[in-house]
Amino acid sequence: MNSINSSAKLQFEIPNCNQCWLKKFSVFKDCPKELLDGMFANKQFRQYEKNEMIVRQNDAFQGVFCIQEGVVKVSTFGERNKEFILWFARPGDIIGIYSFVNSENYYFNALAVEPVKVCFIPTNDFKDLIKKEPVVSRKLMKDMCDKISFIEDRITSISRKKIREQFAEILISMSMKNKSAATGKMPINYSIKDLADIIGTTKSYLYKILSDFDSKQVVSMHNKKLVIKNFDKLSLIAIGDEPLN
Amino acid sequence: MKVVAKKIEIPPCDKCENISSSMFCALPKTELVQLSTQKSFSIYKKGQVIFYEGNQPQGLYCIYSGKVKVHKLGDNGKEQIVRLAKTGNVVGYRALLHTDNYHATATALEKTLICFFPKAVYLDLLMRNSEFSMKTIKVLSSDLKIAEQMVTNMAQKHVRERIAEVLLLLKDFFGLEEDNITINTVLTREDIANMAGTTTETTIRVLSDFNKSKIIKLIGKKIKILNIGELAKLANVAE
Repeated sequence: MNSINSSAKLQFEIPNCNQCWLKKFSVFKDCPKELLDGMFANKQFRQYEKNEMIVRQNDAFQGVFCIQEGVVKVSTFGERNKEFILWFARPGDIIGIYSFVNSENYYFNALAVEPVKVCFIPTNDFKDLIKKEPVVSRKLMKDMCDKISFIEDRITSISRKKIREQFAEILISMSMKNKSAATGKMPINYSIKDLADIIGTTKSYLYKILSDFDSKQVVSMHNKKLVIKNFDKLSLIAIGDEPLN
Repeated sequence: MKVVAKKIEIPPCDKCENISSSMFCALPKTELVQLSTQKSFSIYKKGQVIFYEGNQPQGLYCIYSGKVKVHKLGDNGKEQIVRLAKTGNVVGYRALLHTDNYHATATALEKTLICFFPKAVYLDLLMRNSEFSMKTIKVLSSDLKIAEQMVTNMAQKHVRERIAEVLLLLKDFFGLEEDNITINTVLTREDIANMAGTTTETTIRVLSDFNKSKIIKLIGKKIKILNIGELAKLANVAE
């Protein structure tokens, strides 16, 4: 862990949490100003290059990471050492929150998918804040509920859906998360390999499905960007109600 | 729909024998006494639904005795069990925290006694008592971890491994009967299939296969685990 930390250079001045533009998206949304001011005196600002590890599975727990910029891939390794992606954290998301409660080791890997800037908040500071401020703990609980619901949906969909239905569903949920969804274009920060790991299938199989989607004019790929051409059709595929022609 | 208790008596929360295993354990005695005055109590028969996916939550269900399955319907109408609950567990709290409709349906697996706490009482408690909210976050994080494990297994394991894993999970969660080998629950084959994310037919085939190779013994709906080491190996649990 330490070797990773040292490579993350301190470059900018630490942003003040109250002035952070991400405050309104994060768990600290309704937190009173005074509390937030004093709280993160020990906060560290860190930067990671693309493909740099932020957290390694089974590292001792040290604190939580609040993402400022960039996308972080959070994944675990199953028993056959096969990667499974749990979720993608975006600016405003906090990773490590779930290990903090039980102060156990991190049970996931976090990898910078693109250049990432994070604020690192040591455990105790965060714990104090949660104990002191019910508004924050309520928001935290809400976020956790969201996450659990998301995963339970995934369980239901994995056990009951074909790969191509799951792939369509993932594409839709990712395009919804992205702001450029209005134009129908989805910048693919995720490699096909990543998408395959989310679903739990292989890269080559996804390419096969993708070329099928392409021939049906549903989704196509241009310059490493996925473009959803026919959103309605894709939704139909996702719910397993695909028209035959 | 609810059967009102006539003979069965439920102790007040501060005298409840399950208190140490429930999320209310962080509360002081005075709070518990006050909490008891607000609760109501009902009996659910086997197969009876406690709440439905999509309904609005009215309160919190705390299981006094019995077993409950929490399941979701997939897009094609098939059921997937996402969670089990037993004595001392609460169900339906996530929808309350999130002020959202229920994300799943809860059904009694056997005769189940449940205490019900109104929504306002629970939310008020959360705002007032930071120990209690820490405890709630703990319960949430363990739920999350279980769900994440489940989804990883589901994506990466084969049917046989998943069914073996479900048996181990049932053993860990519900425990064993006095003879120390029988799993203390009567789930139908369909329930087991819905946990492992496969069809009932496959589950029956795999179970009888395990039975043949003397790893488990099937007696009606009861399942005895004869060779736990072998079962863990089948489930590919790295321990």
